[in-house]
Amino acid sequence: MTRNKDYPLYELEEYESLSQMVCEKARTCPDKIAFQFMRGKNIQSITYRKYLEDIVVTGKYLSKRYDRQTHIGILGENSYQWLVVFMAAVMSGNVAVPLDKELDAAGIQDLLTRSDSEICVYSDSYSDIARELAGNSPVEFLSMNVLTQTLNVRDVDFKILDEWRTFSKKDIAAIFYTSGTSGKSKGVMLSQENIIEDINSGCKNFCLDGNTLVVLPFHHAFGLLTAVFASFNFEHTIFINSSLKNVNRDMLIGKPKMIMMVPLFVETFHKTIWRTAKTQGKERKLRFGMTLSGALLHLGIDIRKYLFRSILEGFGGELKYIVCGGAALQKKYIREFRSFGIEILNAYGITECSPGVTLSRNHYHKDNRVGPVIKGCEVRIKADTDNSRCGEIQVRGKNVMLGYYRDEQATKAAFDDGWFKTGDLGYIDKDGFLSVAGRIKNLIILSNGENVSPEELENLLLDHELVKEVLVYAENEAITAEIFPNSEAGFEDLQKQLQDIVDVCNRKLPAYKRIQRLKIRQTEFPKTTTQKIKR
Amino acid sequence: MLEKVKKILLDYTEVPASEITLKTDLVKDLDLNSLDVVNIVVAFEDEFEIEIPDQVISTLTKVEDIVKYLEEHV
Repeated sequence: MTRNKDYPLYELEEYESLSQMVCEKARTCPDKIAFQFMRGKNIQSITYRKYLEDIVVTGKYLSKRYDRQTHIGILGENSYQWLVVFMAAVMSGNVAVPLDKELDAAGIQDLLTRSDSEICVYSDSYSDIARELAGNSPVEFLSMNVLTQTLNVRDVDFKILDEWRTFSKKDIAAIFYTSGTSGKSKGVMLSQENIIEDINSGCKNFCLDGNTLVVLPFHHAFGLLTAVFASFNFEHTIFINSSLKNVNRDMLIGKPKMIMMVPLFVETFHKTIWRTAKTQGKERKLRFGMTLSGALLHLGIDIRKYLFRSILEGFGGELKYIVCGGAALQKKYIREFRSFGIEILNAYGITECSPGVTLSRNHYHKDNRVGPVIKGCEVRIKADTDNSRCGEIQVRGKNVMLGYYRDEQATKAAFDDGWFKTGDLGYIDKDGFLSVAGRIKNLIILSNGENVSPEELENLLLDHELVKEVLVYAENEAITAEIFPNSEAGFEDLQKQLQDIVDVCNRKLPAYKRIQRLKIRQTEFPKTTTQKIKR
Repeated sequence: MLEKVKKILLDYTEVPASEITLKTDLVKDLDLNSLDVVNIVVAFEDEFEIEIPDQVISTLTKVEDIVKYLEEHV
């Protein structure tokens, strides 16, 4: 059983820049396997030293042909080559611009233009887009395969590293485009210092003692900086999943101890587990197993490895932790995975903070919190009223971005007296854990001056199985919960059951936050393209 | 082909077979998320012994898109 109480931070060597970390690993653990991936039916392994060699070869090519601080777009599926190009761009003093591969040609061109990219390095899968754009664009399109085909060079000369080491760690190293829920995406400028500070600090909260599998897209800060480079710091092997079609296969081969994920993955794994149980006629057995394992855990007896062997083997057999960020995950999933023997650790971050702000610890976590703030990063809660403990989450620290690229107005608006305004609402509890309530722009402002976060109430209701979807809003000054239920029971009974759930939630809430009206829907809510309920 | 497609889809959705038509939307009507669709694509690959490129997955939004793709490639 985990002890789940505070304990000293993990102590790892701190680095001054991302480049320094990569160079040091090549020196201190040159022959350890840094990356693995599938090439056809074979597993390809890359050592820590080989990764640096490949970066140097590619970076030298870039240095020879282009001036420093050239902006380099990177377009491609997750791959080892992608990681070589990214670090080659960063170490050689250029600026990497990871591009969202889901965008169409016009979207890619828009980001290349707005980021002032002079080059776009693309993988073979995206050669159609490159060809389509190359004719009408001032951007030079370089094939990732051609650029990295010299990676088999022997006797790599590391002398150029002396020159690269002189580059300032405070310069822009990368521009990440945030998806943004409204309007155009913004280019978040991060320096090597921003990135390494977040890695140095994050690795004090969570310690990885085995391999990992990376499934999140590299153009997201969480998928690249945390899932890849923070894991890199622990000197284990990072298995690169290049297509979501192969997640299950890659788990069996990569045998991860930890995977970083967004809630969508956890929810889908949950569905798959129950679907499999259903088709095998083992639903009842699984439920019984969960109850039994929970009861035994209370007595300090852990037989989860035996009870849920087939489920755990589907994850490779070694999976102990899922670090989950990017959006709120319902508590029921955390509890369910714990009963199987997998601990889900919540984290909170935002691209502008490189991206980690809080991270649950291996043996110190709470299901309804996103973890303690990482060291070196300060969080304050800017509440509207003195007696409210809930307010905007604001962040200060070396992990906070340089600003938005070519958007001074947005940069200025993003800060309050040197603190970065996340736009999220939350509070810090007595133990220093952050709780995230929702987005400020979704706040319900009642005429009595009280502010209510609809997401906070929605999450409470979603904890009950009968509630499939819910939207909370104010109607004629009354807080209303509109629920699409998860049952085909008769309406009257359903009404009563749902009202009971609302009453239970209300008892936990201060009077002004209580749900006064309940509406039941017969159909699902309309959703956005990213499957979020339209407010 | 529609029947074969429906048979696989039924493993992933609670929606009854009678309600699945060519015009059915995978996400909106069958309550699937983008990762479910990836899993379904893998099931089609196994069933029909073909490879469906990643970039095609996002173009498969309705049942008819899958039927059309399979008719052209199987």
